[in-house]
Amino acid sequence: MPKIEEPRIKKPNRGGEAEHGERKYEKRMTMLDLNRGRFLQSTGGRLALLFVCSVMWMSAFAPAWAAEPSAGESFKGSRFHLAGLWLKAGVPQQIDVLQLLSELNRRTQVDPENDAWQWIKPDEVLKAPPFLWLFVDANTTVDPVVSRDLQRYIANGGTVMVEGVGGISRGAIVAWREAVFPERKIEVLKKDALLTRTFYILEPSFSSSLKTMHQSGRVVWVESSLPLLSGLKRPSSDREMKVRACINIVLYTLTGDYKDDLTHLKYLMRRRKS
Amino acid sequence: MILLVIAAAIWLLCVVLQQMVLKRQAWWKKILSLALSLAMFGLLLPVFLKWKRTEMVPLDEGRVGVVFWDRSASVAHDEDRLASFVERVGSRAQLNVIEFSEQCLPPLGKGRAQMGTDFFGSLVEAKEHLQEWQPDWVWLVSDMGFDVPSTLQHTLPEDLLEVLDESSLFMSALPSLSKSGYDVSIDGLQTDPVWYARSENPVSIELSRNAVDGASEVDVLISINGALASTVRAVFEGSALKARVETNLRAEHLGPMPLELRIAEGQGGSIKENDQFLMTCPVLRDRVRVLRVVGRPNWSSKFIRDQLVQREDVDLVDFHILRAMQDRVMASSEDLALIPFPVEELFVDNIDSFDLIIWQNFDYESYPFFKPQYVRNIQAAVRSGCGMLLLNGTLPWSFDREPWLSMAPMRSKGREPQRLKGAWRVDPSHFIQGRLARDLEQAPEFSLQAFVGALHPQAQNVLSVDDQVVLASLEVGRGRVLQWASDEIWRWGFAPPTGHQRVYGDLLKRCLLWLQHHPDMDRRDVICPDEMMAGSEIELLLSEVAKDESRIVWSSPRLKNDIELSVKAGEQKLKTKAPQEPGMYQLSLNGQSPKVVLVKGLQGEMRSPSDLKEQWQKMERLGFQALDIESGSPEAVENVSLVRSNGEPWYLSPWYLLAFTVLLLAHWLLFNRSLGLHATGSNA
Repeated sequence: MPKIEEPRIKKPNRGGEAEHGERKYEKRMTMLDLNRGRFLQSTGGRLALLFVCSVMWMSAFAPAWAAEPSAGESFKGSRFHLAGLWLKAGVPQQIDVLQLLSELNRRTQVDPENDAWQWIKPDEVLKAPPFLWLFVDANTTVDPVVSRDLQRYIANGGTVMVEGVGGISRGAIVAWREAVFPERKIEVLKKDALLTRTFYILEPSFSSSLKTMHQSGRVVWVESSLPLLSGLKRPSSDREMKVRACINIVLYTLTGDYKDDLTHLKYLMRRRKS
Repeated sequence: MILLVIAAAIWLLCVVLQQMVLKRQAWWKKILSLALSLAMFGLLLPVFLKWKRTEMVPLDEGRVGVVFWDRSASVAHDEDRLASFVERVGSRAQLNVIEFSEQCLPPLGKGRAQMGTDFFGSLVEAKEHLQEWQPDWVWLVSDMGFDVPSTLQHTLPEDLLEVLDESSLFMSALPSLSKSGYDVSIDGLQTDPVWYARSENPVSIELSRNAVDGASEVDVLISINGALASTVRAVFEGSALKARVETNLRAEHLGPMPLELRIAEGQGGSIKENDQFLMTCPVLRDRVRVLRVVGRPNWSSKFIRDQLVQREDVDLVDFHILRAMQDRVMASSEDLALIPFPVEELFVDNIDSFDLIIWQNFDYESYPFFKPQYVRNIQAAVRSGCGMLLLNGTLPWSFDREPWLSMAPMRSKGREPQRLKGAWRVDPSHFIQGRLARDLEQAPEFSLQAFVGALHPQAQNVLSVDDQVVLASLEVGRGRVLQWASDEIWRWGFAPPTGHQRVYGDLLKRCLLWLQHHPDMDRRDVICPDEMMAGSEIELLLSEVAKDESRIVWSSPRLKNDIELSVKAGEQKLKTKAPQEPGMYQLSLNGQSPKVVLVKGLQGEMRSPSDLKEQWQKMERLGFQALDIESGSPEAVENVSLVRSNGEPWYLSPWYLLAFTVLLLAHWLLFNRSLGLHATGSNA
């Protein structure tokens, strides 16, 4: 029997108010602060302190290969990881990426990195992992440097997912994109498009809210006027559809058009006939 | 030429004026006048083109003559015959004798006597001398045991053709050693210039015999890469001296494919040398069929797929495990676009149809449907020539037990990857060479996870980081296996700051080509030509200077003992002789990475006498005048005349003057008579 692995992504702390990236750290420190007096005086506390000291001592003599990456180097391997970019200061409060990563881990064989999500600044587009989740709102302006970097990022093999937040209208997203990519065609996702069947078969009523842009034979830009990642936090009637759409998009970026390979098409045709 | 054009223009003007004058005359007068004018213009040609008069002279009065004398193995050389010829022909002419076999013999060339024959190659080799001498005649004395082209235009350079156009060409025969008894020979083999692996490649074998009184059927054994591949029977119909047999052959491996034809023992007649035919045929693949299994989709699998689908010569069957048993998809099967992994279809029914299997991050032991038998089938496929690329990814699996133990270049066992960081080191003798090797060694360091392990005893280190092997290779039977201990080189394929996208593409491409046995990727310990003549002097070059005393080994199934040559430490070149016995040999350094070398005998030399007359006819079509075909005796000189220019202008010939006078008179009579008639008529 295959081993069942627990999801590697911890459940998010829904009550946390801290900024993204510091949430877990700050929560732990808060708990330690509250209990510091009694905790260290107890036997368990002393054992824990001894354990922490031992780990620190061992890590000082650990072999070179076990050392963590040097300062400034954010180590990322082949496991799935992605970056988020909001083209204004701060981060959108309603984004809960851990929901997506958790669902990916639970439902698919995609194995996200332990630290799979990172926010980047607008001038770090070219350093982002191959999948970039871009958030735009009504106040997002067009920065020519970001536009140029996004075009280079896509040409290098990256994929961009664009999501409107803060109640931005569909027209505003279109206007922003047309300013970033003038003279580029974008298409509404058709019923039989690959993105509608990379993992789940998406319902046309939902998939038609997505638009895609192609380059070099692949989808490089997915645009959603509906809140996807930003809509996972709260339970809603279409949350499951949003999860499925996100999973399909992620799997498309990882597997490309392999679902269009002849072997798959033959099987799917056979299944349809039967 | 300019003068001739001017003269032609004046003549044309005169003709027009003349025709205007004769406007009212009868039509036959006009025609006659035009014909006379045309003839007179023709007489101007020798004047303007400076034609010289020629005369027929005995051959030995020619000023300069060149004799090409055949010294190949099929000719019984007789010094007296050559001396007699030179004495007879060269008594009054300036005579130059060029002895040749496959090349011109010293002092003009570096050829050796008693080898094969290449007359036209020797002509090209002697080109500069021929241009200097400007011979009046060139005489070939040979048994014609060489290939004759259908035309000289595409065989010889233009400046050499100009020299030969000014010369008379003669040929006469020398007695061939291949005249005794009934004999059957392999004349040649016709096939496509390039073969495609696994496809049926048509082959047509041509045989001939010199008489009809021998056996009419012979068996031909066909060996590919040293192994017997097929046997065909050739039948000489009735009294035919030629036979052709056609068959189809399959090449299972890529690269230059040594092909050997041999008439079965005892059926080839009196001459043994023409019972064998050796050639090398390049084998390519029209499309490489690749099966890839990805256990968990990740960035590495994405970028490898991007590279594979870019290649037009790749047929990719790609499978990603998107969902395992334990995954909770929260949907019915109708809502899923997933198909079951067709393991039986891939790993039982069609495993032999793949050229390359890419096994990436697939922890197959976690999947109950994946039977151990499938891995054994993969092992059998690899042993019979399939390539395999193993990519340790984020999931380790054990390579320390069979069948992986004998198939994987690295015995990685650990559950946790190691983190490596350091400079990349390339083994220069393997397939990563040149610019790519330099780029890799200068690449910026980056930290990567790797499942390192001990090398298989026969495996080779291709690429290492931080003194740990990251890429290793192993030859398993006829197949090849490459193993990446890390799958994180995709970061070169994407990360723009490193600017190493080309390196990533090149590296993967070279890996794939090496796995496909592409000849450009093969390790070459000993560098030498793929084909050579038996007994010829050759130079063997080692890919690197020998560190210890080594031995170069020639091995062949026909040899009782291998031929061994010792190489001292510090040496890199070795001058030696090719084996005397023709056939296919494996040449290796210390028995490692053998290279197949064809040692050719006199296969084109010892021709069947039945095609000697055909050779003569071909040469005659090229402009050679046959002299005394039977004896090849220098006595034939007596019967030969040479057309030679005597240096006098053609227009000073009395015949020319007579013709000119007659034409002028005829024209004058006609023209004046016509005018006279015309004048009489007008006065009446």
